[in-house]
Amino acid sequence: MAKAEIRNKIRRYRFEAGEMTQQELARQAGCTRQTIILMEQSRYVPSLALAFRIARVFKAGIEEIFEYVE
Amino acid sequence: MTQARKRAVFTFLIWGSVMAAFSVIFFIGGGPERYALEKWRRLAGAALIAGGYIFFMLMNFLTRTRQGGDVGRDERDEDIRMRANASAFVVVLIYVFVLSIFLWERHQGGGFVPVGWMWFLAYSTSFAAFISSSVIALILESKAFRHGQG
Repeated sequence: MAKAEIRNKIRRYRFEAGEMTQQELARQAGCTRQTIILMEQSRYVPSLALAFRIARVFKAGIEEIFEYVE
Repeated sequence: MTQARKRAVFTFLIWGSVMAAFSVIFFIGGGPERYALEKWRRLAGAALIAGGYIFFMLMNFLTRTRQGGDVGRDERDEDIRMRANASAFVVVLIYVFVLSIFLWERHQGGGFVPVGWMWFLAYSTSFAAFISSSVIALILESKAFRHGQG
């Protein structure tokens, strides 16, 4: 099975949300700033629950922010 | 620094210091025979362990999540903590096994093991558990731990 990757557009969405800080996004999504940093660097893939909370912060669909790439 | 990383670092420092001090009390100028005979060594060892637990609890209190503050721990920290504890359990099993076999090999000719070694085994098992879980947590933390991607 080919290795899949999950990419995200969190950095872009933060920019479009008036350059929302990582700290503010972490607070609203209920995670640590460290986790946001790692997600933006594609070094950490969040659980579905956290992915939904992040999408909710940006008032977007989960698939608009997270992309499954095979 | 996240709460999880702070706690891992302080846990390592606290229990590493207690282990070093206990090793001095146990081995310097004595060893297991003297430790079993000299009351002051046993009292000093007990005081060190008690001090270690007091500092450990104090550290957990001081690094707690404050109401209205930033998120203290998240799913990633919890995953790392669970994996670190599970790995530390295996490390402790291996440690107890290796130390027991070492004592057997060293003392099988004499037919008995100095009872002071029981104190060492009891105390050092705690050190092994705390220190290994904190070190493994720091290693997993530094590797970012790619949850869900294997």
